[in-house]
Amino acid sequence: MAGTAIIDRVAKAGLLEREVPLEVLGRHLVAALTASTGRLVLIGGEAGVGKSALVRAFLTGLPSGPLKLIGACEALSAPRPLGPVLDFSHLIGDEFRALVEAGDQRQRIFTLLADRLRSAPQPHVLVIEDLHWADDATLDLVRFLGRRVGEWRALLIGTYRDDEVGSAHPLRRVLGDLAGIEAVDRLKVSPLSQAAVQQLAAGRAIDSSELYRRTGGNSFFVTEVLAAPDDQVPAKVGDAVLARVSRLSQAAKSVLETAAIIGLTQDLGLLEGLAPSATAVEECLAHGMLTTAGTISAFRHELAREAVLTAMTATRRRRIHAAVLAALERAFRSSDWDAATAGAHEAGVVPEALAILAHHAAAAGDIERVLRYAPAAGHLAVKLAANREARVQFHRALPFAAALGPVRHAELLEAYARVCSVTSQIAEARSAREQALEIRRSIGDPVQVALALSHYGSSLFDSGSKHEAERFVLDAVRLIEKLQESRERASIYQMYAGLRMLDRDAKAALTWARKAVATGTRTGNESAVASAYNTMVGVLTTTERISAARHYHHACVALIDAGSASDMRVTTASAKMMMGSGLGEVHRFLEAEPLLAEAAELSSQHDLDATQHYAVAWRSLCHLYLGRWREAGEAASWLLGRPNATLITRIMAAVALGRLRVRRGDPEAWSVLDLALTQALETDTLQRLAPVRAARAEAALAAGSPGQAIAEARAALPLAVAHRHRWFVGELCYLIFKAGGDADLPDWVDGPFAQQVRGDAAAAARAWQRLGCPFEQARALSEVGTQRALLRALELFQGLGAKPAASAVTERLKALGVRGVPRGPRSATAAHPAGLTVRERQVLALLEQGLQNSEIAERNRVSRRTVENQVGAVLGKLGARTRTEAVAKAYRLGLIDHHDSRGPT
Amino acid sequence: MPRYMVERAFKGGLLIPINHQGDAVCQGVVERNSDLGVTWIHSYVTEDKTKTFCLYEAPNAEAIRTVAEANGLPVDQISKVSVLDPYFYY
Repeated sequence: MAGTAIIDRVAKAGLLEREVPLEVLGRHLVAALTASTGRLVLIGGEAGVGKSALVRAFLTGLPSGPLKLIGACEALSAPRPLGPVLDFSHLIGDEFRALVEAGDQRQRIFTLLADRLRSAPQPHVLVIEDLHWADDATLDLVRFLGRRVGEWRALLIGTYRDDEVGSAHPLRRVLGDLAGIEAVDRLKVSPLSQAAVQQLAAGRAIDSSELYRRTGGNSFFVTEVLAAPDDQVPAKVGDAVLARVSRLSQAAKSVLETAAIIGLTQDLGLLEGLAPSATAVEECLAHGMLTTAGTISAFRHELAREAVLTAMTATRRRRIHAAVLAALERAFRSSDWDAATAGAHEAGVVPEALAILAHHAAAAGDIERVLRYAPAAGHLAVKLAANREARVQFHRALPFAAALGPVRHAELLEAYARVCSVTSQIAEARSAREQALEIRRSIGDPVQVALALSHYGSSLFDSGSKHEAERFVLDAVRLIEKLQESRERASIYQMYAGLRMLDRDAKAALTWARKAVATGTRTGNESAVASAYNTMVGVLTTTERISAARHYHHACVALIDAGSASDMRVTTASAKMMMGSGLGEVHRFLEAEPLLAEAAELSSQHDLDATQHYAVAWRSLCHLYLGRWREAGEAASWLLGRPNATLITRIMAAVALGRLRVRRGDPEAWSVLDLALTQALETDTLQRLAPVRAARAEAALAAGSPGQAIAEARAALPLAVAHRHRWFVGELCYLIFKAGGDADLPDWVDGPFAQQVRGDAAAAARAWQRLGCPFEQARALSEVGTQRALLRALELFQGLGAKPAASAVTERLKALGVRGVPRGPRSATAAHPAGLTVRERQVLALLEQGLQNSEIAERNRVSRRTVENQVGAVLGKLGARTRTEAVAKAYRLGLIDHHDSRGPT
Repeated sequence: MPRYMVERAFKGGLLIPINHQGDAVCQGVVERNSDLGVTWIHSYVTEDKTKTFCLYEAPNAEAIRTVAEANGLPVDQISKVSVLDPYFYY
């Protein structure tokens, strides 16, 4: 049969029109090898377009030097965490392979791999195929490596189906996070052109334009059609595959079906064991339906596997899943499994197999085995922070979990609730906590009932039911206090303290946090103690007891660094964030900003997205107040585009962006401020409502609606007064005062806003200057109202790009009869005319005329070396890479005389 | 994607030569815009060339300001706009 020969020919010829991507990959590899500027190249394209063929061709053509590490993601609903890494882990070393197989030390796996890529004498090419199916841990790894590869002698390649990665797809998040990193490049593999399809079909009776039209130039589709002996072009790629399958014997078809159930690749021994005869496997290979490499067989493409799968009946699929499951159980039974490690290897198989076994058990409808493998696979995934996969595994087992007995059923619900919270599935988490509570009550162990009560309460708080949350956590407190002192009592105290802190109830939060510290210290619950210290930091910063806050912040970080508690909940990043956001709430942005920068950096190193996002949101607010508006706008709009940003992150980012748009006079301030209000009302807490209402009052004032401004400010004022929050009350009263309302400022409020209300704008301006807030300073100066103060205010507003405020001040200056008022914002161009010297301007003019260095040297009577230096200086000052680019930039900056050029028509 | 009208003021007048360098200027702007998903559709220029009205597609106003800075272009005012067709009612 000529099947394989044809496939060979087509596979080679299939690399028609791939010169450009191959050259790009080659260039990146050379740069990585010679200059240690590693790259992550993400290759996108539709299924079957030829991404893998491209990568294979690239790898085949490589010199022998680099070590090739190749792994692929699998099309399972809950794939093995770090499955692709497992594929190549044996090439890294025994210790690494053991770590990945055990699969419970994710950070160590990441750093070991990074160390290897960074410092191994041999360069590496690492390929991960089919990232659209990647588990969370693999996606985190790609992000982790992509952020660091820029300085390594390594080339990383990832492939993915770009048409399957919608806006909510987890890979999209990673692509977004990696966007703008210089070391990350994206390639798109396009379908073949009509000319290429014609070339492939040469010598066949087939209608090549029909072939092109039907296949859309999809390489795999074209290959499948050409591999069939007749000259028909089927409508869909699946039909082309099935047309070939129909020519196989019944036994070979059954092998193919089993192979499709096992996956894209199969262990040849496993497949032969399940085959009706050895010749049936041979037949599949001879017809080119499967290919082999060593002890592994594989479909030539995932599309072929999908076609075979789709053509099977549900009953047949279930039966084969059961057969594969039984065979895999025998193969994967842990050889070193014994009673001593029964806890870790509860299911009695090697950990790496758990996800696969759970997958087949679920598909086979084998409840007993689902309960044996899925929870174990879930716990393993949690250890790797593959939280999405863990959620699927726990969810698989939950419908049948009553059979496990109440204790294990409750534990499963609690584990499921935890991964739901981490992955922002708030409603699911709450429902699981509620069921767990019910079961814990039926069991009757009061300590566990108290814990379940407090966790259910916390889940209620997360979904915005503040008062109900309070009730349940208080019930937990009452119950645990009746019992003998325990570690759990400290945890429950801390949870209650945390709720009170989030509600800015300073006194109660401090009382309960101190009780948590005392109980935690006596019972050795260091995790609760550290969390309680952090809660105290939240209280002490927002009530402006800064030195005490610093003291507890250091105590908290010291406990974390000591690292003796394995169940530590608070991280260094979240501690820095608490301190930074607390300082921000009391307008100490100069101190807050560096802490938040550290928090963002630390959490990004450990891929803690929720912490990182919230730190970036607060940093964006700091930038806004400190007058770095471009940074503020970029960070806030980036966050609002993250599909997984949490509610509180969205609120704070929307406040920053809304205020920025109002102050710049930009459109769409209200759309973000409306969103912020809806979400702040959901949380019903002061720390969200006050900033949102203040921002909306400011926007209403700017829009000339003082009535609405007063209403917005008044909506949050009573809550702020009840909490005696000096900054929130100060700002809200100030906004009412500006809108011409009766501010009724309480006498315990001080600070610059209060000074402005009480008529001492000059002192307020000085205070704002000390706090590093130029917009607020300018606003106070404009209230001082002298010509001098107004001119200074105008300068500040113009420097910021605060157009509406600047225009208002200009009008007032004109009314005062001041002449020569600076007009309009000074653009960046005017402020920085590139700093070229007279000589450099002359050289630039000659560059514009297209002169070479030698000609310039001759004309200016200087050496070529001098000209080279001058040209270098011109390019450097203009930030241009080429002479043409320098000239282009110079035109924009108005640095070249226009005597011989015309304007646009 | 939303559309925005961006008003810019050029004190000395905006002059882009009609030659390969003018083309390089425009293409440079277009290329830097594309980094942030910003598309320059076209501009209207006043007769004295001191003011331009530039129609853009962009994810948001911040993106327009960021690329403007990268391109060394001034921004006076950004407004979100939609199309009004006078013959729609026929």
